[in-house]
Amino acid sequence: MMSDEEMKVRKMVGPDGHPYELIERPNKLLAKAGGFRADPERAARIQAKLSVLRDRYPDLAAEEVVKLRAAWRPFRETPSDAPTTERFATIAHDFKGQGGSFGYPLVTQVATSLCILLSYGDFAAPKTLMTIDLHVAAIEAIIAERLAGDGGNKGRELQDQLRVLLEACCPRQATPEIWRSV
Amino acid sequence: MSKSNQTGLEKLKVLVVDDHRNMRDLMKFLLTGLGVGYVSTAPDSAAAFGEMRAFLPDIVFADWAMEPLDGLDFVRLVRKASDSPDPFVPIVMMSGHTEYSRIIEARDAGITEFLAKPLSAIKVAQRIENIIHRPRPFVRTASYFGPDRRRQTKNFRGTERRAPPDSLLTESEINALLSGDEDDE
Repeated sequence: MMSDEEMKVRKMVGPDGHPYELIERPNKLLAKAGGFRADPERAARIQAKLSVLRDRYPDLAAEEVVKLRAAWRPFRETPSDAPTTERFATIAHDFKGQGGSFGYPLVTQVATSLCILLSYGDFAAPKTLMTIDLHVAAIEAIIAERLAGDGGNKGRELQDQLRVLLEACCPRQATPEIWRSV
Repeated sequence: MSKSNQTGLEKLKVLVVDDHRNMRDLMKFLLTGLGVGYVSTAPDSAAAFGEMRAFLPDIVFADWAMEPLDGLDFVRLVRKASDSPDPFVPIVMMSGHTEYSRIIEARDAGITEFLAKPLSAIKVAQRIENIIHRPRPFVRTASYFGPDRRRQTKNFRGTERRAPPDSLLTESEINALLSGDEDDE
């Protein structure tokens, strides 16, 4: 850690009249790693080597798929129960973050759509619950059939169908903000 | 690593905090591929706090969704706890939550960079480059301690507006946080 003597602390007043301190410190990382620049070519080579992890992903995710289906059942019975919904949404959110990271962007797309349904869907509407069930089934199928990348024709077809269903449950006009991420 | 293969990160120490082992493995893979010399991992915030003392990382990548303390709690602890190993350490928050309100929440906790999932080598590299070459001063107010929350943005065209309406950040600044993009100035 840096000693206090190395810091420059300036007393300031913000435009709102509130005082604050601006603390500047020598950039030690520049001396340690100043030669580094993000290199898209190197990054692409690393990404290409990810195939090892991509091949392992369906096996790594199998347990999570079981958890997702298990979380769906109590949610279907009592969708108004906040902790039940949160448990379900947490697993869906994990799929959203992990799928694309491991070369399964289709998993991320379907899970993103599922997260939107769980955040903004009307659980009293049977079509919403049916759509959520179909999203869970889609994730199960993508993992079981190892549909990496965009999943080819099958993947695109699946995505198109789910998008229509999502839009029926969460119309774009009513929820423009959430569609930014779809 | 042969000299021709060096990237400049050989002396860098990076700590990865994520409760999912496969995500820790993935980050280790990406960071090692980028040439980071030392990578350590921790499965939760409490372990990470301890590891910070022993490992003294230069940069921390922390996942948001963890239990019992989530990534934001971890950031607040590092920034504000009296026994923090390094309140100034750059922290990159990794998350699939990319809604404006979430990004603002992370920024207000004191993150240095935001890394939206899915992860990729180029996104990780860009965050590291920002931290090394474009550090921001720290700010201490009555309610906040962390990197200056305003950042320069480039290539912005059009009317500057804040989003959402009660935010300190402009829409372009939020997009800059999401993309890791900013000026060299």
